[in-house]
Amino acid sequence: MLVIRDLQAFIRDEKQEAKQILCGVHLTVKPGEVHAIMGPNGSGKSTLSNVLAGHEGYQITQGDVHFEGKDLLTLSPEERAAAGLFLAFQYPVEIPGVNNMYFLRTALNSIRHHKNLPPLDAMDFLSLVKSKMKEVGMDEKFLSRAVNEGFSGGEKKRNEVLQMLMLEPKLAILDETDSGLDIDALQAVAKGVNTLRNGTRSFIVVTHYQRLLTYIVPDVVHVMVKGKIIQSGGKELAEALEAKGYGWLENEAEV
Amino acid sequence: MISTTHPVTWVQTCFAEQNTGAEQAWLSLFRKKKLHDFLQKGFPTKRDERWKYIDLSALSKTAFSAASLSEQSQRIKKFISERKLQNDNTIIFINGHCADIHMGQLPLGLIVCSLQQALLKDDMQIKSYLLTEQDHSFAALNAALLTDGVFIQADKDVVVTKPIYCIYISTEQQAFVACPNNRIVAKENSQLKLIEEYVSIDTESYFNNVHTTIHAEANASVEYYKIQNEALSANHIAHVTIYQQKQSQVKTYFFSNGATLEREDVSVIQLGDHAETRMIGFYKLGRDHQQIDHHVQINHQASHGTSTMLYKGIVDKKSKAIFNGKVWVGQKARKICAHQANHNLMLSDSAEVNAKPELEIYADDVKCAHGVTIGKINEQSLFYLQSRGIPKTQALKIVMNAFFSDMLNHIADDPIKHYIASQVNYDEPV
Repeated sequence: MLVIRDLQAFIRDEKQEAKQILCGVHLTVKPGEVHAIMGPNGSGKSTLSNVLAGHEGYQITQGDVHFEGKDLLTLSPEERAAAGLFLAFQYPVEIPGVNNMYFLRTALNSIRHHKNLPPLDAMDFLSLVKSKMKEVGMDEKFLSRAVNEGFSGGEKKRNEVLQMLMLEPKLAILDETDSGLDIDALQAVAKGVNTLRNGTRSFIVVTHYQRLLTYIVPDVVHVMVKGKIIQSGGKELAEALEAKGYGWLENEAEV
Repeated sequence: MISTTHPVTWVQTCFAEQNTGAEQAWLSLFRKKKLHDFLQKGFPTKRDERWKYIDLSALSKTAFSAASLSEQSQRIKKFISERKLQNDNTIIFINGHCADIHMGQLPLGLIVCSLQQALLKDDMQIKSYLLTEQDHSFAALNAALLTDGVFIQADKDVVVTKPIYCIYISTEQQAFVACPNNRIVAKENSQLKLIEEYVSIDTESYFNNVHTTIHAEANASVEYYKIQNEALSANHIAHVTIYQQKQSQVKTYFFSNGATLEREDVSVIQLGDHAETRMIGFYKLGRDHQQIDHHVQINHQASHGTSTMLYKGIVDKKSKAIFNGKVWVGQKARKICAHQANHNLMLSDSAEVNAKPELEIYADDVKCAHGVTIGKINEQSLFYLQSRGIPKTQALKIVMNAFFSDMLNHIADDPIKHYIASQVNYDEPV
């Protein structure tokens, strides 16, 4: 499904100075697997998510990424989405003046267009989106609002999961979708992921805390520190991290 | 003293071409006087603060000739019948000359005629209107080379629900100058909606120098829509003056799309208490060297008046947008509430925006606010839309449309709203 080899990337800060963030990431995700990436702040987890989705702010200096055999790094963000990649944003963007329903329908029909499927008409779309909203516990009034504008943190994240349910990606990356969520919203997010889970669809769940992983049980847990994955293991690794913190792994990495 | 930017010899040539001797003696004298005024003043230059940012040199460089009325060919008729805003109340101008007036069920008490018709009838109101001095060069030029115009008057209590659509078509003749002058009067308690649209068929570098004056008497309501869809290399200079008596309501909507050079001078003068004014403007510049300049002024001379001014523009390529909004509150005006805003979205690094909000207040106890922004497309919004599979070009369109979607919501008249929306490629939300 996804093969990342020796990925290195930097970003230019306000002073235009290059700051290396990814220092050689290796990661292989097979169909149907759920991978969790954990790690302290600033370790490069969100950068990895953004680079995979095609954010232009990062310069890639080395390595390659293949998604179902396609060279992902040569594709535009919309081509990646059409190929089946989805990023649930850590900070979903507010777009005043763009109606949420219009946005969802345009997105869905863009993806359908790529799959050579006819666009959904307004009626079919409406019944589909309403049923998905019920699944994530979102009020229908959010359809007529502007995209994420004035949404609470939880509403924004539910809106991300709603988009994921609508677009049915092959690989979904959840970038700290659990941060700042109350327990109801957390369960709604987990439910959204678990509904989509099947033998072929894969997930990368980026998180600080083990808490989300009790609802979304991962197959593999990775720890990312200073731009590298320094340890991988089963779900018990997440539990160990919760108990001991990242300190012991960071120290190990420096040796 | 004759200014250095002169001579504009084409003005004299046009004047001579138009001076057939058929018109009334007073008009002939008046036009001669105005020609003299214009020749003395010349076109404004960059030394004039109000004309500092706009380059008018094209007007002196081209030798324009007097506009002549073309025949209303089948082609023009077909063109008009296909216009979206065309309705039972349509007035057709060709190269500044009134070619046809179609009025469906003309309500009793509504006068609609061309300015030339009114002059032929020796209408005293039109005579005194034309003789009212406006002291600037484009007014002098308009009077000296007066082409035609429309005279619309709604008598007391007359309500005209359907908009009166005035379409100004430029066609066939190249490099002509037309000087239409429109006078709109809404008497006490009356209601009027007026659309002025400027378009072209197969002609390019002409020059429209338009004058429109609107009187909204006590308790009258006027909606004025100005849609500038001129040819890409056309020049369009317009002065709109609006007088408001007590409790009158005026809404103006300006939409600028075409032309290489456009200047809109709008002055609203609130003369009576409790007058309300809403002014909306949108400009879309997308070609190198295109200049669009909106100078908008509201004068609060009476008390309890309200005004809102909202202008937004998208500026691309190497084009230049100019906005100058001025709120003036006289010493005797009490309890004024005025709001002014101008927002610009720049799509290119070589585009230019000159925005200047002004408040000039001589009274206490007023509430005035103003704000200007100039920004770029939010890259994060674009990335967000793209990451959901929406192609970049469409994402850009969505973000641009979002920028002015609130403006469209101010337009109460649905056909006009849809028309303006379609002009800026706005996708209707589902």
